[in-house]
Amino acid sequence: MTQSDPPIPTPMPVPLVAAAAWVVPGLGHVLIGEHRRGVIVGVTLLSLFIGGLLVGGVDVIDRRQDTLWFAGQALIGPLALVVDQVHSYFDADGSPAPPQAGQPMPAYEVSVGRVNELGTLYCTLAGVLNLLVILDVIGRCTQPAEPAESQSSDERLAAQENARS
Amino acid sequence: MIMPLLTYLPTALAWRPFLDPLDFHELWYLLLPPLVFGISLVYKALKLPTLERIWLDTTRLAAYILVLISLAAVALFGIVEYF
Repeated sequence: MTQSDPPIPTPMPVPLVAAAAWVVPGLGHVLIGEHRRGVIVGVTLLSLFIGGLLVGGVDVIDRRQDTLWFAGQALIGPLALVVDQVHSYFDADGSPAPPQAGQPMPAYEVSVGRVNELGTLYCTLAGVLNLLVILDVIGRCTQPAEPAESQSSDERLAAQENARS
Repeated sequence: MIMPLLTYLPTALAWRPFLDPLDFHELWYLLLPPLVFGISLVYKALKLPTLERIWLDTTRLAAYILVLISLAAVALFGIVEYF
């Protein structure tokens, strides 16, 4: 790539595409025409994040106690902020005590040990991978126009299939 | 392998999704393959110019990572136990 290479013209401004990729993982690729890539990335990242929540419970998203981990988790989008707000709402009266016989069930159960570690890891890796996705979609918006790269992979595949038939 | 699964069943019945953690303390290593596959899938989705061979390439990359993790675990186990 040289300084004089013009970027590929995209119908949407790059900051908007990057913001869309943060709000909904994979949406940035969909907006620039990479539909299949965007769907694969989005479904995978949301599955990882929701999988982490299923494994470790809402306790794995905690902005106040796990600030550094949350910094990575927040990269998945507003979903992490919403989950943190839910966690904060449950914690309004302090973290729940371990369940005991005769006591009402706590709002949620604090996760510990490997389950907490893996749940936190799932959610954080989903966020950090979404940062890569955002950088990738920015790169695809601003890469130099080349004949072979000017089409999305879906369009190239369709052209190849048409040529075969 | 069977016993932890059997002891897991009663606790799973009282599990509240997203509120309670899964009781996977004895089976935590089963959570690694899906994580590795997800990382591999996102990496390959970004890296490959076309997505024709994405599932094959992803499976291969995930297998490499899991084999390397296993070898590292065996090596670290040996170091901790015998050195």
